[in-house]
Amino acid sequence: MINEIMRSLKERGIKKWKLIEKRVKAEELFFIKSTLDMNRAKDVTKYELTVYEDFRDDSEDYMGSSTILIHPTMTKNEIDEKISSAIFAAKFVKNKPYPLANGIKKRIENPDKTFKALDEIVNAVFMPTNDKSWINSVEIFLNDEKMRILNSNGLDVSFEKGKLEIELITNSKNDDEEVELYWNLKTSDFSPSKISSKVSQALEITVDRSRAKPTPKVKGIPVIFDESGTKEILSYYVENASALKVYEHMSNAKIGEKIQGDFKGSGITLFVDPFLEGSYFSKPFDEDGFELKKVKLVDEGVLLSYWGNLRFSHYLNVEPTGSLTNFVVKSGKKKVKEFRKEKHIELKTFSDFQMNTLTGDFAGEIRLGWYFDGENRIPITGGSVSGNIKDIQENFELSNESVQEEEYFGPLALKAYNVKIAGV
Amino acid sequence: MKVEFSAFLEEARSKIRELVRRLYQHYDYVSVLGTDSSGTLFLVNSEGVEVRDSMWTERGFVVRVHDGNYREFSFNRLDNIDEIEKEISELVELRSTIEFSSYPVIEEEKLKKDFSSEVRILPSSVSSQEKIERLSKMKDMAFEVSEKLVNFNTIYEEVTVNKLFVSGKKELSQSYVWTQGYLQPIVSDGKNVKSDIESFSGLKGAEILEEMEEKVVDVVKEAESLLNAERLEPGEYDVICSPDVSGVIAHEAFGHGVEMDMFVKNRAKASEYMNKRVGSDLVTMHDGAAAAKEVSSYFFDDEGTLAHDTLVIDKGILKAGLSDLLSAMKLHTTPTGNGKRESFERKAYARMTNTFFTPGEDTLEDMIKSIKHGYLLEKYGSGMEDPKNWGIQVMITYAREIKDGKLTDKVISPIIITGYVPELLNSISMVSKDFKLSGSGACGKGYKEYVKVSAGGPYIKAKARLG
Repeated sequence: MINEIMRSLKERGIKKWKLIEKRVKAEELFFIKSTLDMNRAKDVTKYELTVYEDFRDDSEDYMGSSTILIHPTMTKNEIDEKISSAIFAAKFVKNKPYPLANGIKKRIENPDKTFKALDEIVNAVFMPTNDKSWINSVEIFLNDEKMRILNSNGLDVSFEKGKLEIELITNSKNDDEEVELYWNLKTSDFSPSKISSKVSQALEITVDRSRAKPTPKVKGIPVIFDESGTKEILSYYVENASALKVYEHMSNAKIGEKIQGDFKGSGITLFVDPFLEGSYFSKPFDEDGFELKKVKLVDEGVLLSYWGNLRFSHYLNVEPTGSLTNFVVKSGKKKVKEFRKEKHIELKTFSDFQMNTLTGDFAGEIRLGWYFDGENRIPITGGSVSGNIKDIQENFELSNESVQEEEYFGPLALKAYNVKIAGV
Repeated sequence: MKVEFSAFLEEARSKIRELVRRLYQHYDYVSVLGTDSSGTLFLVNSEGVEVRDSMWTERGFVVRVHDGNYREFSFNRLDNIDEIEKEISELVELRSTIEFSSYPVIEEEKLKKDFSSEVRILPSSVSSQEKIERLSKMKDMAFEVSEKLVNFNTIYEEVTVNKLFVSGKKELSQSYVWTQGYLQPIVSDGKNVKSDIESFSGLKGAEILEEMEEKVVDVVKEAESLLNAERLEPGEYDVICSPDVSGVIAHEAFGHGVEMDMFVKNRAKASEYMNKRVGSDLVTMHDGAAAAKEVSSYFFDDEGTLAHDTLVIDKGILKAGLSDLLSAMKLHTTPTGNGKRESFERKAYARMTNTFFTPGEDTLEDMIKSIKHGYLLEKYGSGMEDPKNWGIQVMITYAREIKDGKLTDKVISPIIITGYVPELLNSISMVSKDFKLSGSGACGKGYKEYVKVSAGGPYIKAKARLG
């Protein structure tokens, strides 16, 4: 197929292009309790082609582009027609010129072991038990992915990766009703002990939801966000350091600026890291084929660098870092145990905790948390938490303990003041 | 203009029939779904233009076979049927280590039908140049409206869906077009940055661009008003939900809660409430690909079941759920045509289609007059379901304050609605005569399996916990 696409590009005189070939083989298992309800497999290859057209209009230089999907079942005529339409559209796309990735050649192989891990993964999921909670259902998606990126500069890089996604529902029951919690684990670390540990923790926490009381109507007490909330809140700084967001006026962040204000709590030190161990999102090259490396973005609250792909970095005249997903945040000084000493609310899981990285507003419905009234730690559920990062960033504290949560490695908890709780 | 069926699928028909015939020699039931959906997204903003294939573009096949239970294989080559047969036979290998859930064989009636829809302006009849130019004009118009505008995204997306379903007794084909658009102003007063979004969707063609052109001025002015928005004191308030917000409540509160694959897993509280009261007398709710004309109005679902119009709640009483084929078999109910896949690459689940509350007798004016202090919830950003415990979360982009029966100038943003679904639905005390459906964006099941749906209804008055 790649040869067929090259032929069509050549016949059409297209001199600038980028091609991504992605093959995904997958095994998928769908369990209700421990019984397999369905199993699926897939073998799918896709080709994503971007064609570029340089042109001049009103004394301005432009580099138009158009991106299309080529399917393996396409005929010669279909490919020719689709590429012709794409290059026609590109002639009206008035984007400023930018460079394509340099013509390096590199191949990073993954020994073929992804599917051999499947039995162990299944065993690891069902290994943990708990007297008061159980697995309601599990979906396991094990992918073996091969990616190859080529461009008209002679770039030819490829890499392979195994990816695992587990959707887990855990249940528990109190006197009145059954409750559930939802978990979604994305990882490239197939270690059975780590998988079992996540499941075991999920089962344990679900028991607390069955005992939970309605979230109290409290005001003015600190809120401790556990890993999921902490990751979401800290993602604000990553998004605001994005070259795309800055170029498109979605972020006002400036290099050298104190993006956390005059903080008195924990200062943010943040990296983007393409090689975070075990991360589902780790990769050696981005979609342009640009070779990635770890970059420090923020040091003690001061923005050192933007991150971005070749296009938007070039527009901002900054060094490109490539497009990255993983981020690492330096831990704070205090232990979570110290955070918990005074009266507080601690929030573990939400329906869907969201950070609006444009405005800094965040909110989520509370599925499970704990209220510490100074004497007792009471599981709570219902109601919501809301706030704005600009109201908390000068005083929040990051925990000394770190955790890996998918694309994030950093403090296990963030203690915030000036956050609103809507109790039940 | 009539939407023509995919030439690729038409040519693949005989090979698919051959594959089904060959697999029937080994299995009790075989079906193949072939898809060929193509589309383009055009984005114009102040800093550039983007043209790319829509994320809904797909071309491939999924085979389902029965041999005691159901197994599936997704692929996107059709040149070697022997290899596909081999891949399917290898799906059985797990049997030795894992206990399977057994299912009966799907019983079908003979049916052969081809469906296609019509739109006023076929997307393919308008050039890329014209689409980009019209979006650019909208962007330029927006910048004339406000000096506070720092960027303006105009997005138009067109998708032609083609599907072919072949099993032992069925051979169905369908082709239809849907389009959607967004206008997203980003405004700044130097200190704060805010954005708003106006969306458009439907079983429409390029004519949707006309609807977008009419709304440019309004959406920029709305975004400007968000710069002065205030925060809300958390508490319980009388609220009026716009048709968009009513729709997301219908979708999150009861749509997800009655997806019947959740009944099979014992994940839905609704299973205990069939034929019981779950809302006030004013609440009547439907779902169905045949219940309305929006982005999820198809002729048959991804398992070959014809589209339905399901009455989910009738005057406050829960009447029926939404099911895919396999859940209906487990539950001994009739499938409702809600078996949908994100693409040929993913499993079919029970999913919503077009979900809505039906209109009532009240007017918006009377509803506002009836409120001493509350809010008109205008636009939402997202929602999340909790089918087992009937919690609800809806993120509201902005609301307008109502005081002494009148709208004030005060704008509140953002707001989160949380609550217990039956409490919220039982508190509905007025329902307007208006009706609007909206189908932009995508709906996930948990955090994956994104499909097109629409939702909507009239204005509703209720009591809600806001934060």
